[in-house]
Amino acid sequence: MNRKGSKKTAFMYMAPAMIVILVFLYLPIILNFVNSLYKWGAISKEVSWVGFRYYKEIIHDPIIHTALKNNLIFALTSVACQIGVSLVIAAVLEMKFLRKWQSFFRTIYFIPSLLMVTVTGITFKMLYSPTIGLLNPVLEKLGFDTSNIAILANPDTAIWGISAMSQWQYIGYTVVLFIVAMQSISEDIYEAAEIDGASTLQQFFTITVPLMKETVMINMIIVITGAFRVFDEVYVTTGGGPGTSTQTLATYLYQIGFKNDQMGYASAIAFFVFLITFIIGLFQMKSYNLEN
Amino acid sequence: MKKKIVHGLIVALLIMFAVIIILPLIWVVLTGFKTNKELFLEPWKMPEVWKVQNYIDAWNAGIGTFLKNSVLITVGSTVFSTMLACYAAYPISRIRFKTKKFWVLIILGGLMLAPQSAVISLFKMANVMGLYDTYVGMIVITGAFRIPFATFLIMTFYKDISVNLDESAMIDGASPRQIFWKIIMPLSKPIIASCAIVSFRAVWNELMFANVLLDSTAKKTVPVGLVNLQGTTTTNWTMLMSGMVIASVPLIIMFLVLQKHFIRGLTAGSVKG
Amino acid sequence: MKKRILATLLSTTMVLGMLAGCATSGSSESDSSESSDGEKVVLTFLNKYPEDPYAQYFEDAVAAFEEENPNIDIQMENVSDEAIKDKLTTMAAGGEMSDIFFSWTGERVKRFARNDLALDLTPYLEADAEWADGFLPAFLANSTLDGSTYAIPFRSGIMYFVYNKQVFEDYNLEVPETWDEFIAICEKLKDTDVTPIAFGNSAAWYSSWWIGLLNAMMVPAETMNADYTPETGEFTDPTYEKAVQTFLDLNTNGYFGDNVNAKDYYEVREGFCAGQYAMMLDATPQFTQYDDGMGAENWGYFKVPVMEGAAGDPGTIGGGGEAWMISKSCAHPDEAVAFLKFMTTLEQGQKQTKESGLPNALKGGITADNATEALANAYADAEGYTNIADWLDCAIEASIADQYMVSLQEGFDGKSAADIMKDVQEAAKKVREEYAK
Repeated sequence: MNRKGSKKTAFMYMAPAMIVILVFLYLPIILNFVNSLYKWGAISKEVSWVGFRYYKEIIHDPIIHTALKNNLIFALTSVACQIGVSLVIAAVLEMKFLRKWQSFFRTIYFIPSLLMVTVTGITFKMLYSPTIGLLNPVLEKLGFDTSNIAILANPDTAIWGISAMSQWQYIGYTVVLFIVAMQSISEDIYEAAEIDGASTLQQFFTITVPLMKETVMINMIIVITGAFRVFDEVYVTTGGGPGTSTQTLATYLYQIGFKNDQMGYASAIAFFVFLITFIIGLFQMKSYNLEN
Repeated sequence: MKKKIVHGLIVALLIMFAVIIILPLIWVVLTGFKTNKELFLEPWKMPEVWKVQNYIDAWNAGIGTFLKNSVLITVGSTVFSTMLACYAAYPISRIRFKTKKFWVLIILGGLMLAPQSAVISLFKMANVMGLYDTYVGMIVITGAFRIPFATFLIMTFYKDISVNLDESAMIDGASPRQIFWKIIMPLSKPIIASCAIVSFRAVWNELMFANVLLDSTAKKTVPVGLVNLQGTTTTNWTMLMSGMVIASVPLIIMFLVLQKHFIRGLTAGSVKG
Repeated sequence: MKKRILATLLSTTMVLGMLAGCATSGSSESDSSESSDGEKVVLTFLNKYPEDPYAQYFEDAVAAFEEENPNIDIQMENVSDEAIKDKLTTMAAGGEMSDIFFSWTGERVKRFARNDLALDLTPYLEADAEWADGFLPAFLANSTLDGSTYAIPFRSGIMYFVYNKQVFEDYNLEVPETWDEFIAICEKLKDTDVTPIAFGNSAAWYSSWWIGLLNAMMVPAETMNADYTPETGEFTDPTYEKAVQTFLDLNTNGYFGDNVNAKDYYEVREGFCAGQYAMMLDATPQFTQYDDGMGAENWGYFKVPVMEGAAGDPGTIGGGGEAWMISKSCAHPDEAVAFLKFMTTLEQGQKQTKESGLPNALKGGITADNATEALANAYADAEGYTNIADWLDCAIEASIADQYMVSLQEGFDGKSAADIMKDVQEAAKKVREEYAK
């Protein structure tokens, strides 16, 4: 095939996807940036130029700081659970003596990830309630003093409660992913290691983890960028409260734009979110080394 | 002996985790059969009378319609994004051309874009383009956000298919189209399945776009519908619970039935991704 | 190859096109019917009652109107409470309001009026004095901006305390008339099995009812009017802080029970109906819920106790209305007005209350004939009030209201009244500056 032809072919195959991406992903971001330089609202008809004023406001807005902190909490707990804990569970389920039970546990663990976040959210909101929920009575049975435990009502615990809910939902999903990846590692490698006298733990760290680097990395990217976009989980459970303690960047942006009708400021926050996810993504991509 | 104890301990932990997973699910199903009064005053007891009516009411409140909408939008968006990704990934991974690096960057950049940062502009655009409050609008827009990741996954998979296959086919006189359809696509079934699963889950869950871009009640998806079922002073909580059960069951059943295929589908993504 | 891709693309677009077809067929119907038989006027109507028994009543009413006016077709869309707030915002942003749309009275109405999205209804009201005079003046007054009326109230809400008769009997309590008596009851009940006041704040809107009421009781009317207007709102009067303090004290003194921020309105209402609480602040539209929840004979209501020596206007009571507005861009305003007139005649209003339990906003609209005894009495008792202070989240600019609710939630967690008001003042200042520009 001649070179010109292949170039044409290339563009023809790429065009539909690229057009959609450029129109629906990149164009809005650009528009959004322009919008963030104006003061405007959905209902309010008045539009006025403010320049970068909103970006200065973002830096000093304490709720943005809270939101960033919350997104970070989400990211850290998600990596710890959906990568760390999941890897361990997957490795355990792959142990020989558990093989015949594996599909049973796997199935159960996977089910929550099939639920909609909305469903999980409404459920956990009720489970956490000290009066009608399930959590406090269980803790009481275990001998804890629960009179002061109201997970979602306490600004110090609320975000952890929401994050825990998210882990409950998704650990099983990555467990299954990791099991599948582990099954493609050849048995011979383990057998050789065993002959060399490596313990199960050593095998996990010297064989399993390094050989799964790719899978782990890509899931890490998904988990972390996901954590900086958390919206549904918070919107459904606390709506950002108590106070502003569980606002995330996404819920705060929604509150500012659609509830308070300050679309200009909301656009600025939106662009800020874009910058953050983009930078994190670049870092990860670099470490993942996509050149090849 | 020591090994046995360790094994016992591990099994106990696994079972405990399973219980933590299962308990809330059972609670929801049971609550769906209760009256509001029982829920708020005796959340712990089994329902006195099993109120099947809740499930019927939930269905009548529109869960059926919401489900239909969710399925339509999710399937549409999954097919749309996976198909475009399959096409786009092909030249990027198999054909050499000058501007390739630029396009790869566009795709990787798209992977990083948070939907929230685009929602306000997209809302305005949807209005202008006549996509506001249409299924197509939802399908195209939610689909658009799935394309970068799907392309990325498929791309890395294509790369691992031996180039020798192409070359020998080309020597036999096959065109790129034939190579794509006769060689690449059949080999990519697992990665396509894998992509479809990831996209399906993301769109199925979508709340924000559905909230902002859909307008008429008749087009709302399940997540929005469930949020809407909560009135300010009049929520029927137990009916809401039964609605949630109805909304969740189809996917769970589908998973249990198709589990084998489902997991085979995941394989490609987790290994090659 | 080209062909193949084109074909696939075409088939994709065709599928999408088909979807588009069925997607838009619903809405395009209105246009086509309008053009096809020329005469028929189609009005879109965004309403807030998707759940029965309300939905049924409104469907029947619309059908009755259409029967009387065969040339008008009303297309009603019902959206729930939380959702309609976002929906109104998005519709406004798209520049496409429904011909007739729902709004709460107060600042929410004014916001649409101020931004030229709503039709000025004053001429229509002036042309039909009988119609205009039919409304309870306080509710119509809350739909005006600069002397012009922009909304027609159809549902009224007036705040009362409801109480559990059994509890009051068991503890030998009298219905309180003054705030001190009210506090004395709380004090008496606080160490018993019964929690004095049913209140929960996990969904923050309920606190906006309380603080709106307390502001009306404790802040001088003129000050309040100035502060509730976005252009001049300062919230620096010390009485605001006092009102917040009064509210917080109810919690610190233990009258609300444990974990205020963990409970919500429903939970405490169910608890109240079951006798766990003695009293609860609620408004007339919810009265039927208590009949259903505990039996009409087991609960009573009393007027919000008078706070002696407080600076607020004693003729003002907390509450709020729900109203319909007509879009400025509505092509058939006369027909839209005709519909609103139909919905708010005394006859239709009484029917509304009777069939749905939603109290209308009409003079003499609620009587023993069409309402429960409690509701009829509550409206007779309300004649002493001259003014309605809207629920705070409807009365003031959205971001200030939001700040109020957020800070109050923090207040139940230890934030001081002074700091709460500082937050509110800050938010008000921002709004003032925005409006000044």
